[in-house]
Amino acid sequence: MNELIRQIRDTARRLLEERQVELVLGFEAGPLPLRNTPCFARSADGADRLTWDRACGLNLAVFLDGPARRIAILAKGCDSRAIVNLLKERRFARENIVIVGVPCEGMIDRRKVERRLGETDFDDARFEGERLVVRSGARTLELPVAEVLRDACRECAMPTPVFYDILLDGATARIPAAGSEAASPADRAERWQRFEAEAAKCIRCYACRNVCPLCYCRECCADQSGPRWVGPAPTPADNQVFLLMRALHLAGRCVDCGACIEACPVGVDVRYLFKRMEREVRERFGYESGRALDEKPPLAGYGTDDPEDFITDV
Amino acid sequence: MRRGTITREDLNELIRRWTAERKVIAPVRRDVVELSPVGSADEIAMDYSNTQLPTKRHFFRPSEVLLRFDLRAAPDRHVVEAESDADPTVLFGVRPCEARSHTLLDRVFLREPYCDPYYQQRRANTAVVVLGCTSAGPTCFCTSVGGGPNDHAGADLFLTEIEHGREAHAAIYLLDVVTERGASLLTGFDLPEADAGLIEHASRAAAELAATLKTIADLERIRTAAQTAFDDPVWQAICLSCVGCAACAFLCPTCHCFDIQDEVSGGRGRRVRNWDACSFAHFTLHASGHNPRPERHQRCRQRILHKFTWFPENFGAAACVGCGRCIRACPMGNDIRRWLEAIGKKV
Repeated sequence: MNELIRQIRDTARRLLEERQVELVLGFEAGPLPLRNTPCFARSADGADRLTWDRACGLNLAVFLDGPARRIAILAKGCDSRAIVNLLKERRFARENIVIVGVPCEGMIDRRKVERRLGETDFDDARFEGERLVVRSGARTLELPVAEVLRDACRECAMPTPVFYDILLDGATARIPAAGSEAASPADRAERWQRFEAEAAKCIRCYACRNVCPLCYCRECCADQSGPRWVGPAPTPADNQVFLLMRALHLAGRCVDCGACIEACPVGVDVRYLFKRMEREVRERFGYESGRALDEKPPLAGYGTDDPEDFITDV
Repeated sequence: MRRGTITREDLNELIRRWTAERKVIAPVRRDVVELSPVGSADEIAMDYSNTQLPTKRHFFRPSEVLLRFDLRAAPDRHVVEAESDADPTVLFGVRPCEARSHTLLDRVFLREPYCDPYYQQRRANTAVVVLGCTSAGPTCFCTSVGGGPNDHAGADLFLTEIEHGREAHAAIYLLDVVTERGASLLTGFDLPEADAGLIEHASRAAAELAATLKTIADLERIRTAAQTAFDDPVWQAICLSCVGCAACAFLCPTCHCFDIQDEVSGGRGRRVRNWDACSFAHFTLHASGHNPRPERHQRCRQRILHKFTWFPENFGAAACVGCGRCIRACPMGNDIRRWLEAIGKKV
C-alpha cells in the first residue's frame, strides 16, 4: 500500500470515527483493470476498501446531493472546482461536506489504451513507474503513462485542489500545464466534419450527462416529451442538438474533469466544444469555472459593461 | 450436421461470392473492433475478443419508422405503413453469444400473434456465420447463462479455428453446417469432410475453454427473487453508484424495450419506435405525472428481474448471454456478476 492510500484510509477512518461525516465518498477496486468504482464508506471496514491510483477519473461530486447528510469526498483538482460550482449554485450546504483534496498525477484515458490495443477488452493493467503495462490475452503492451493520459489531464492547469478542508500530501501533483487549448480545426468545413463524425457515434444512452456533476437538471430537456425539444432517436440531427445543448448549458460551468468522455461507451469525444465555451467565457468575462467561491458566475449576473461583440452579422 | 474443414483462403473466396450478391456485415478493427458492412474479406478481423456494439441493432433498429401520416393527402393515403428494409445479409464472424441473443430476441419479436414484421423480415433475410471462441475476455460469463464458446444456438454456419497459421491466410477452420440456410450459403462450394480427430480436438479445446469460465450465481435461485427478495434492502445496496444511464441496456444484446412516439408537424408526421431503457427515470412516467418506479433501486431491480425472473417465466430462458458488455460499458464500474452474487445470497 502506498503512502497516499494509507493517508486516504486514515483520514476516512478518522472522519467517520469522530462522526464528522456519515459517509466518505472515494474509490475502490472495480471489476476491470483501470476502472475503479465509487466507494461509499460508512464504517472502518469501508474505509479500508478505499484505494487510489491513476484510474480514479470519475467525478464523485455527482453523488454529493443524495446518500447522506454529512459527506466527505475525495477530490482531485477538477473535482474540487466542480464542488465550488455546485456550492455557488446552492446544491448543498458548505458545512455538510468535508473536501479531502488529493493532488492529482493525471488520470488514464481508458479509450486511448483500447485504441492502442485495438480491443475493448484487456485482462490486466499495472503501473510500473511512468509506464503502464497492459495485457490482453497473449499480448502485452508497455505504454508510457504520458501517452495514455487524458487530454484534459495533460492540459490541466490546476491538478492540486484549489478548495479543500484537508489536503493530502502523499502524492505529487502533475506539473500544472499552461492550459493549452484542445485543438479544433481552423477550417469551418473540417470543423463541421469532425463534429458530424463524433455525433454520429452517439447512441443516446446519456452516460455523459448522468456522470456529470454539473448536469443535474431535475428534468433534462433531452428527456422532455411535451414539447419534445430533442428527438430521442440517435439520428444525426438529434445527436448534434443534444451534444451542442450540453456544451452550451455547461458554458462557464464545465471544469474539464473528463468524466463524460470516460463514461461514453462508444468513444464520443467533443471535449473541444466544451473547451471552446470555456475560452469564450474566460476571454469575455475573465471568469474561470470553479476557481474561487466568491467569483460570481457571469451568466448569473448583468453588467452594463458586459461585452456584446458576440452580436454580429454573419 | 455436416462438418467440414476450410482454409482462410477458401473462406475469403466464399466471402467474395457473398459480397457480390448480398450485404456482408462483419467485425472490422478500427479504433476498436466494430461491426461494419465490408466490401472484401481483407477488412474482416478474425482475432478479436468481441465487438464494441452487439448485433441487435441489425434486426431491432435504434429507431424505426412504423408508419407515416398526412391528413392533407387523399383519404386512402392518410396513413401509410413503412416497409421494412431487409436486404439479404450475411452477419459474418460474430461470437456465439451474439447468435444466441438472436434466439432470445426471437422469442419476443416472433411470438404469435404479435409477430414484429420489421424484425421478422430482417431475421428471415439474414444468415448468421458464427466464429467460435478460442479465448475468453475478462467480462465473459456465457457458460453461466446457458451459452458457451462452442454454442451453436442461432448459427447457420459455425466456424472454429483449428489452426491459427503463421500468416492470416494460412489459418484453417472447422466449418459446421448447422441449418438449411447455412447450407445454401455454400451452394457450389465443395466442402471437404472434417476428420474425426479434428472434430474431437476442437470440441475438447472448447470444453477446456468453457471450464476456465467462472460460474456466477445460481440462476435458478435468482429466478425466485421476485417472490422472496422483492423488498430486500439488497437492491438499494447494489445500485448505490448507478447513475441511471442506458449504457448497459443499449449495449446489451438482449435488452429490447422501446418507446413509440408520434412526430407531428402541421397535420403530417410519422410514428417512430425508439430504443428505451428501464434505467431511465422517465421510462415508466405516466402522462398524469405519476411514476410507478420513482426510485433508482426500483429501476435496477426491474432490470435484473426482467432478465432473470420474468423473461425466464414468459420465454423460458434468462435474457442474458453473458457477453459482459454491460460490465465494460458501465461508467461507474457496476458489475452484473457481483449484483447477481449479492442477490443470490438473499433468496
